[in-house]
Amino acid sequence: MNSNVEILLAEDDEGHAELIRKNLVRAGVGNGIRHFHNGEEVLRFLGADGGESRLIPGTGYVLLLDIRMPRVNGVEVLRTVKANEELRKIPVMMITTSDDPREIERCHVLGCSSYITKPIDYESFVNAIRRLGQFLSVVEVPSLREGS
Amino acid sequence: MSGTARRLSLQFVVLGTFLLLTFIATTMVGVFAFRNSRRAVNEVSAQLRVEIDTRIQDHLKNFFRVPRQLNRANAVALARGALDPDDPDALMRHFHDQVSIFESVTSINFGNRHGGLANSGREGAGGERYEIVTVDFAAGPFLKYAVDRDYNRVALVDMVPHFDARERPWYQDAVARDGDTWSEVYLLATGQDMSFSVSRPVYRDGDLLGVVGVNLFVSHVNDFLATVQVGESGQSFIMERSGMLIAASTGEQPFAVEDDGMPRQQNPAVAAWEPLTAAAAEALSLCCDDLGAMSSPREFVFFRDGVRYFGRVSILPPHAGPDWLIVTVIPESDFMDRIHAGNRTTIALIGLMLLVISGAGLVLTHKIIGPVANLTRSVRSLADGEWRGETLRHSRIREISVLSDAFFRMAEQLQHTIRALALKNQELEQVVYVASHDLRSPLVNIDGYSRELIFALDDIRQERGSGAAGAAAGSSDSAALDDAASALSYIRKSVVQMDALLSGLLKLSRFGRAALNIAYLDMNALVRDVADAMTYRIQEEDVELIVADLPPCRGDAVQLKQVFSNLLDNALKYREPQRRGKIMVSGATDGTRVRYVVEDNGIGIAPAHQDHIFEVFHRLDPGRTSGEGLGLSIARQILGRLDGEIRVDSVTGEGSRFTIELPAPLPEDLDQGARR
Repeated sequence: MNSNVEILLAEDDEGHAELIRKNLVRAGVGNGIRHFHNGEEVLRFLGADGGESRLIPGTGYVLLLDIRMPRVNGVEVLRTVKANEELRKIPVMMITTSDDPREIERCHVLGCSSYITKPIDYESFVNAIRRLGQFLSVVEVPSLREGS
Repeated sequence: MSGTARRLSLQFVVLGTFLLLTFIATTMVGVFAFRNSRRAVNEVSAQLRVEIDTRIQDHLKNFFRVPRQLNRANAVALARGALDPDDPDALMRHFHDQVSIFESVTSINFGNRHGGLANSGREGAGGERYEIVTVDFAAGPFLKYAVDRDYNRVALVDMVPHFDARERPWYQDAVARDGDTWSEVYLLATGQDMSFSVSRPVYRDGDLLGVVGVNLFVSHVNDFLATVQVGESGQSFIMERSGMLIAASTGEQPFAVEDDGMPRQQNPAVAAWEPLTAAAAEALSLCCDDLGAMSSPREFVFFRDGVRYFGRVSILPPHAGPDWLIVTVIPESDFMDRIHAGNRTTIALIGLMLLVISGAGLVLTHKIIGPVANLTRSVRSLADGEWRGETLRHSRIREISVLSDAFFRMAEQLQHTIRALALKNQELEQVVYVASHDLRSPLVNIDGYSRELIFALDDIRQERGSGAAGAAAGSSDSAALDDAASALSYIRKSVVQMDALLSGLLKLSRFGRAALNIAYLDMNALVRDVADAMTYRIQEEDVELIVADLPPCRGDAVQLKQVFSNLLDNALKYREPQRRGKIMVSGATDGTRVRYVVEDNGIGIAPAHQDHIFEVFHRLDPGRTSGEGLGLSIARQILGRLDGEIRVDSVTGEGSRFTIELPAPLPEDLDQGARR
């Protein structure tokens, strides 16, 4: 996997964030993970709130979004990212507890690359994270040009 | 095709009935009045004909009385010797004076038993007098002289070589009949008129002396008839039984005149130049073929140019006059014209009445139906769920006012309840959604970290196992580790169970919110789809699935697939292990409802449980089978939203039978279904 890729994880639940991190490591995904506690923080980091982008040129990014988050939820983040000419290149994965088909449909319509239900069944969850790792290693994550 | 197209509006029905009844009533009255007046008119017309006929008869009887009395007077004078039957000159002078006195008389004569003739008369337009006498007052030469007022012979006008009075019809008939004898009509040789005669025999002491006769002008009859007014456009005429015209109220000449002014021929009535006379004569000949023998008056009817005519034909009493037919004809229109005018007024009045009633009806129905129509629109919009809080329109009719007032209050209450319900429902959905969603979040952590703890315990065990030194000392620690591992495993099992409940709740809330698409459904195809999706399990578990021909219904395809899927799933799940599984699906239409039955030979449901199987999360045998306990709850929820029903009949150990009831397709659905 491209080690020059940073994972941006937006998850308000510390426990979930920790579990995802642990399982990614256990699945052999050694990329750097940057953790945000809500959608607003992610958007600020991406510079999508009108401020300055903190993205490092030449680095690839992947966005993991929880749907239910305080302030700005995951669907809103997805919508904002996909509406931005540059940011829309970043692959977005939704990781959420909801398996409501309509919500899944909505995220796909908005342009998410993948949708993972957080299963209670631990093994399935680990499998999902592993698939995510495989996904990250297979998909070429685009690097964002400087000044974009 | 829709049924509403054939239904009539209230206004149309009320107004239409109103007008129809009025029309029928007025028309009936009109027709009745018309028929009555027609009958009255016909009676009046008949009376008029009788009156006219009587008048003509009376006049003719008087007219004919003169010659009869003259004859009798002359016969008496001859019989008693006051007149000498053998002195022709005296006779002719006597006759001359009589002719002068009676204007209608042409001539008077006496024919004696020797064939001789003595006659005095007048002829021509100026009434020139003449005498006729036979030589020696016996059969022989016949001499006609013009005479002046004082009986002087002026000139010999004519002579016939042989004449015998006894050979003439008027002589023979009078002797044969021994009374007044009327002759046929004949044309006068001078041509200015027609004539006829009445004659009578004369006896003295039983011996025949001869025959006296009086000749009359037909034109006198005609002159009288011309004065008779027959209704407005009717007419009378007289004809012989043979059909020859004698006189007419139109003044028509009963004989044809040649170019030289001489009469040639008597006219039959059917050839009269007056068309009505001809038509009446023709109708008479057609209707009464026994005219020759007729003895009492007869009525007859005929049509000419679309007009009905009433006719009457009568004869004079025997001997009172010649054997003639008196015909009187009056067109119905003479009287009906006024009736028809009345009819036109009646029709105009009926029209006017209908107009007035239409106007009044329109105003009235508008007053009544306006608010009703308004109410109907409101009810419909309420029924269609498009109620916009319409405003109440007041009616001055109490019942309607009360009705619409009650309806509007009801509608407001209903709207209020619907809004409150919708709000509650929304709240509930939200609660279910949020709860199941947010409750899952901590579960992820509980399960995830339980797993992490198990990993940690495994790590500790491995470390212990690798360090053999601490083996003995660690036996109590090891037991504690096992306890912890078992506790963690219980925790994880409960988490999985709780997750199943939460996803069940989510699913239930999702079905409750799904938009319905209710349409005509081909249930054969739908159940086939469901069964096809289960083919693998059906074969795997060796179950016999029999699907009969299913009638169509109305419903939502996606949701009903879910229902049948759940029922088949249950039937597969709760099989009786001792026998081969058998599932039967059948259906029947019952009026506006369709019933489908899914029947199995599985383990069945005990009566005590049958009431509870549709409850949320109710599971009869949680240990043995998998599932959320929601299949039947969802089925009931779906059928509830589709105006359907689900019931169960079951015998423990024998099987279960689920009956689903749904609305039958609408007629227009069936039309479309047939076209498919």
